[in-house]
Amino acid sequence: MKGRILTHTSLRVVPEGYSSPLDICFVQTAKGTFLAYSPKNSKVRIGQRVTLKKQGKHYYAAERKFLGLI
Amino acid sequence: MQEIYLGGVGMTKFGKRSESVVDLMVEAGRNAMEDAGVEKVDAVYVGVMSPEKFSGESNIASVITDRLGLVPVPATRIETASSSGAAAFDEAIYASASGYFDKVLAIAGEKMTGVSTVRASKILSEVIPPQERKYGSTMPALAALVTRRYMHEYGMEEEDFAHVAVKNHYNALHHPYAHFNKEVSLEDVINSRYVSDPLKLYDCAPISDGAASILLTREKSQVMLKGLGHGSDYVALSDRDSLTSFASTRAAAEMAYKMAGIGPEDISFAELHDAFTPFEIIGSEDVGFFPRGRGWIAAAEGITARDGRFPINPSGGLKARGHPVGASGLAQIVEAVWQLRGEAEDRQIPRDMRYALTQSIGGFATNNMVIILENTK
Repeated sequence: MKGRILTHTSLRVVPEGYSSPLDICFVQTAKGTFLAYSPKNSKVRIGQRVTLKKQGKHYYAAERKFLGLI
Repeated sequence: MQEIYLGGVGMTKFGKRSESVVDLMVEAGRNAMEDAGVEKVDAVYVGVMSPEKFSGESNIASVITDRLGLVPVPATRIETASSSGAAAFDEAIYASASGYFDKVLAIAGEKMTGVSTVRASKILSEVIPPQERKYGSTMPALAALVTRRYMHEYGMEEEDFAHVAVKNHYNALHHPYAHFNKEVSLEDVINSRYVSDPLKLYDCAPISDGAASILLTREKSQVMLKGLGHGSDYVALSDRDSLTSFASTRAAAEMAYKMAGIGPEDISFAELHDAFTPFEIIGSEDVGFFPRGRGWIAAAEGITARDGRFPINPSGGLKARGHPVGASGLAQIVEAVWQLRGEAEDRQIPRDMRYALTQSIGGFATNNMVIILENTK
């Protein structure tokens, strides 16, 4: 799914079982808004065009050119 | 609806307390009954979020009612996450206004420091729906997502919402029941470490213990209930129309103003739910004090200071008075009563006031209450 980043954060104080920092974002797509892990290979910004890729139970956001790295 | 008066109020000191959650709520309840000059009530409503997980206590309404020597009056527990205190007040109002009961005691509290901070954060995070929690989302993380979007839409900078922490710590400086009696500077807030950017440690309310209580009655006293509103919202943030405004607060405020027959322009001061400093700003817009996107300017310009044109959180708010989650919604109303009666001592707002408004957020703004009180003197 293609979309744009609505907002993002880097969580430094993370729950048990997660590593810090934990980067998450909301992505707005034509099918609705989804929480996802933020892009890893580019500076995250509001309005950034990304593609959502589902792996297991989670969505990962990435710029199209970096999708293969997820 | 019958006229309902807030005949007595009481609190415990907030902060890290050695007493149990039951001890704290009994202390607050006794203080409210003593303030009202009553020894018996007709019903007890107890607001608390998660005593089972924080303290290993259950059946808590019965235990408190027994400890207060009030058996056999009805004892009921109310839970709406972090607005449980305001919800207990709501239910107590309905009980009294029905005419079935006269004197009704609302008590709310939480004991959070008995578990580790990691454990407390986990308990609090359980209000987040599984589809968002599975990413490691916490309450500060969701608040950070909201805050960054607000900054983007309205041009607010990190320094702008830091003013809320500075103001609220200053307001609580001489508050005998506050968790923190300590001023913080703008630099202290800005230089504190990130919890979830753009939110820093000093933008977040602390983990606290404490309790508050209010005795409601149909007998006339100085402060009466004027308006009561309660709204809910979709549990998942991703299901909502807006990230920068809470529909549950707007719905609750609309109900409360309608019942009161007044508008935001009539309110003298407010206690708003500032679990995260930007929430005070968003709350001030959602209840109609400032236009959308302008609340941060009011905070930065000192309009919401205790001696400003529109004081918000003269108690120090959740940020500095403290945030025992179940207690906070009721503690806001206790502060409003003290202010309207002119009994707030060193933190008294320096002017005559007629109407006070409180706003409490339950969960991640899924179950919010707005209450309006009138000074009848």
